[in-house]
Amino acid sequence: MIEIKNVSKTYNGEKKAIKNISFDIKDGEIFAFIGHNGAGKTTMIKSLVGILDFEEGDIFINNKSIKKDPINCKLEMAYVPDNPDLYENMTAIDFINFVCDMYKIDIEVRKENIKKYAAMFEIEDKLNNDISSFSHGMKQKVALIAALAHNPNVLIMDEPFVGLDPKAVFDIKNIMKQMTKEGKTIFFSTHILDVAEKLCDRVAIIKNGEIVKIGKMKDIKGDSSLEKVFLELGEK
Amino acid sequence: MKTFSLLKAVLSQDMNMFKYSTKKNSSKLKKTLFPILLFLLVCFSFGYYAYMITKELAPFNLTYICLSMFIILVTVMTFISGIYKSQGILFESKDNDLLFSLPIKKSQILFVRIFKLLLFEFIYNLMFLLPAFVIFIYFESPNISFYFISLLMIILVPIIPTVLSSILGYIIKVTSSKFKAKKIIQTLLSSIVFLGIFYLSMNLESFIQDIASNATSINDMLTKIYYPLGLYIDLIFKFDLLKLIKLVSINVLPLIIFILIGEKLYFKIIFNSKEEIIKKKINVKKELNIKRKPIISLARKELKRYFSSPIYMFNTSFGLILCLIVPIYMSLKGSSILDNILSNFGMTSDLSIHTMFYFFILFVCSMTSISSSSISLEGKTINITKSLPIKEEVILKSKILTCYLIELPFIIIGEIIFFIKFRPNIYYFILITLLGFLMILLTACIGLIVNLKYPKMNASNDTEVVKQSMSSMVSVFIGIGILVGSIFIIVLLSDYLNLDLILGLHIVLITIISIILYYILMKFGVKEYRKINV
Repeated sequence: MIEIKNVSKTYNGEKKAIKNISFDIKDGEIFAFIGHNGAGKTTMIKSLVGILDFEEGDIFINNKSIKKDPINCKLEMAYVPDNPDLYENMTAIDFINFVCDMYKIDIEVRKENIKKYAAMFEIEDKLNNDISSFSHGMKQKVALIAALAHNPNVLIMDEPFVGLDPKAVFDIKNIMKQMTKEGKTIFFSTHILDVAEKLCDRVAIIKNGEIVKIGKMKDIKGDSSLEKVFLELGEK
Repeated sequence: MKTFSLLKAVLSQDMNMFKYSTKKNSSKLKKTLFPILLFLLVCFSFGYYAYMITKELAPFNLTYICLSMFIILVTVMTFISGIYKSQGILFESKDNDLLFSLPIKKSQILFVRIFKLLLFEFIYNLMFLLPAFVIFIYFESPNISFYFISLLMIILVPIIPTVLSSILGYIIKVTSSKFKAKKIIQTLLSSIVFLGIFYLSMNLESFIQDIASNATSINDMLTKIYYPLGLYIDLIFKFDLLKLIKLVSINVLPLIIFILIGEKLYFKIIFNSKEEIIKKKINVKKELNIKRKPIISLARKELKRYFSSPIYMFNTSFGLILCLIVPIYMSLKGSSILDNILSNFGMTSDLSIHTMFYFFILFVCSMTSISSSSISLEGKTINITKSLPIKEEVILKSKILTCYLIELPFIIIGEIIFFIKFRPNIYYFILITLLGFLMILLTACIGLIVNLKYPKMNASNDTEVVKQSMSSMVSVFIGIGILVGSIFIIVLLSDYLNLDLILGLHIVLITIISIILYYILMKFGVKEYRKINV
């Protein structure tokens, strides 16, 4: 479970990127964060996964504070960034193994998961290639395998569908659904409203660092479409 | 106008390190003040050195010789550093795709990149030339034309060596691109060229004697050594418009010719240097059966980064290669090579071979700063490590471990060769072994602290981080400071105390400083690491 309590983040002491944000995401829930470019989605996600320090509020992952107990929080999570800037000088298998070492994953578990996901994303024969030779989509797949290899309880993804081929998008959606069946939590940001509409239990719409709407999909869109609601809120 | 905009854009990242606002953030002011103070301190040191030389030359009306020495020094330095800087800035820039997609002339792109190379040479050269000019003015009170010509000379001095080193950089890049292991060949070729220059500089004596015996005057000799220098010396004493035009033309024409001819060859190599898909001979199944401790895995990652960057390797490997070559040479031909190296740094050679070797290990470690670039070189990938369940302390420790893994084998082998040949007593054996261990820790901590204070996370190529960042500059200055300070204190105290005791005290001092810096790194460095936001 993710609990975000009154989180505010300021850059250079001037611009407040996110302002007093609070919400919960329950176990077994798929939650999407929607907003325009620069609305504060990535800042929120980076704060959530412990990349960015924030001044006010706190974030709890399964009752552990990211501020006070970052290591145990991170052990629960996996993060897939929007732009997978991976270690270009490594091979894909080197990188995945590196991440597994950080999570101290047993050899048998990592072997099984890496094989499973590499086969699913059809990159088994490219695992010993240098990451520098990969396309954006390929890098995204490597980042996903590394994230999923340690069976995280909470999966956080920033724009996970950008740059992926339709088959990979389909597979990720299935993985997400499967994970929620196992009681795991999924939080992601997206621009693709269609995906959010079909996949998510709840969504939050963020604008200028503030949440302007949050709730179950059917409550937010009512009889309208998510796209329409999003555009209307954007104009206000 | 377009070239100016391009210059502004390309240099904006580099110039950020000089920007600060007193109102917004006082720590930024502090961050900028420290390098300025360091710059002034280095200027003062060179100024003092120039003063000591000129004082001896002044009674014979030869003050200009000191000025000439400094100009030759910066010319050689620009040439040497340009060899590897050019490879990074000209051939490995990450903004190729962006710039080539815009309606910009190829010559403009090449010009801007050469300008970028030159700009940093101006700043480096100022550190040497400014004190030399001030001392000359102090002794000679020259007329107004001196100021004008010298200012012009500051701009002109780095052009020829930069053009020459860019040509050499181009040849190295073309040659290495024909091999499969491009990066290793590139580093190897650069090192060979560098060691070649080093060897030549060690054997310049007979060459200069040859010129001196055939020269009619000292200025004639300088002209024969480096023609633009002779012209400059002529001009500061007697202004002559024709000679001035000649001086400007000799320096600027090679740059114009290089841009016009180089434009075609340059872009040919850029377009052909796309990385091939490298399928390594890695046994995926075997790799899956290995589980490493986080710190080992992190150090492994650091090593891979190190060996993937020729400029990074080359910049830090010179001292380490010397660490192998010098003891071997000493074993075969005695200590003459150490005499030469140390006399280049103004040190007398009336020291015992053991003390000289102690200074040599100190020199190697002080000049090898691997960690000062290691955080900046992470770039945006720093977000990966920050999101992983590992303490920041472990990340920083892994960077120190990497320094040990790279430096220690060279130092140990160098020391073993020395021990076998010169059979020192057990006390010296312990001292020199400790020195290697401690100096690696000390320089690694300094490098990391400085890099955390001055991170450069958005560099467009490795050269900008390794050679042109505030972090690398400050670390080099501190390294020189440690070396010169240590030698100065040891030599000074040797008149009053037993040398063994002094070296022992020196080791104790290094131990204390290393422990304090390690503590600072683990306490405050961790907070700085967390603050980095890319």
